[in-house]
Amino acid sequence: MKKDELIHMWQEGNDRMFMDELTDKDMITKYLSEKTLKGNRNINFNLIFYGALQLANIILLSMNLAGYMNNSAIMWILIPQLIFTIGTLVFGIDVFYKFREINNYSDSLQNLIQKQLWFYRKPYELWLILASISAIILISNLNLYVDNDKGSYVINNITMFVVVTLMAFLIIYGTQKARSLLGLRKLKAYLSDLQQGVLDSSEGMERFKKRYLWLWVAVFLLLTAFLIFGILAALK
Amino acid sequence: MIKQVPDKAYFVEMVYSHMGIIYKICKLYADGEDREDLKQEIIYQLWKSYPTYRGDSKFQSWMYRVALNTAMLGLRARKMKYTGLTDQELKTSEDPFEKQDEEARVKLLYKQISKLKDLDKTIIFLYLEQCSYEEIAEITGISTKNVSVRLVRIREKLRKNLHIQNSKS
Repeated sequence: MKKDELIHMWQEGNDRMFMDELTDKDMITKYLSEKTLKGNRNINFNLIFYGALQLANIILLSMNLAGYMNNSAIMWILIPQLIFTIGTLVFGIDVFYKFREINNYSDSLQNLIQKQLWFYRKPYELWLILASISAIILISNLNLYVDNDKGSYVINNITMFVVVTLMAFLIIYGTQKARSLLGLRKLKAYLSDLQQGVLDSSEGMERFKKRYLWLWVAVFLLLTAFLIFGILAALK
Repeated sequence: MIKQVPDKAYFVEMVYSHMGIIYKICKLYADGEDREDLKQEIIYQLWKSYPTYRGDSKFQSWMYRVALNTAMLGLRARKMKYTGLTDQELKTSEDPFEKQDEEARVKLLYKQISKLKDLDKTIIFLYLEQCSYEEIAEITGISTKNVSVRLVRIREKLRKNLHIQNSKS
């Protein structure tokens, strides 16, 4: 076989093979219109759905705050929850835009994979946790709203409360996490295939971003402490 | 700052004149109905990324990059699984090497390339499209040295496999 036989084979063969497959310009325009419409619809739906859910949570929390104005113990639970939910909403929107950025395919393959890995390991992972907690807050506030002085509170039984909350968290977070883990595994395989040792630079980039994550963790811990304090105060 | 609205007519014209790139990538990375989906997805991703095309690089190089990234990463979520060219597609009535039938030979080449890992597939595709090592390195993000080393190995493998098939037939 001659030196450039592969190139010759490729060029000559392809010229013949695609002769019958020509797509006209109208077809390209049609593809473009269909996909753009579908793509925008999906993006808008996801953003609107997420925003609506968080806003519903904020409204419900505000209503509970007004309803339990005279109950200082409940207020200690609701105020951190409200701050947390607003923070999650803002962070979620930021994550949503980051997701759109990392799906810009005009970057080199290596950069693209590194960005995607960072996204799924850090902001998305944090968002998964926050959204799961947020869902629990929504459930508990629905109970709080429906419930009244004569009702039976789950919160009155501390063991039950902890078990139910943990179970809810594990189910909500676990299902999402399992989904993202599969994607991450493939990305890591791509990356290690791309270049030996490139994972080190990817991890270096993540270390750089760590300090921002710590800020979120600190806020989260503070709010959790408020929540626990509130629950304990309510039990007394 | 006012964001410049991309010229759709010009974009369509450019994509149309480079449509061969999309056909070839689709044939390498998808089969059956997935191939049509991939074609549409690549055109859509090209349009989405078009505002980032600065014009200082060749349109063709930019198109390779976006199209290959779409093929490798974009459709990952859809769990597309490429199994190679179908028997129907590979079907030829005569011995391709004896008759020097270019179409049949390129189909065998596609079949051999489809057995490679995704990255190797990309590198050899760009090589066959006569991209320079620098261009391949830029598109994939790996060093030119790495491109060169991998290409030697991939070309050797392809030649060996095509030769084995030739002698078997």
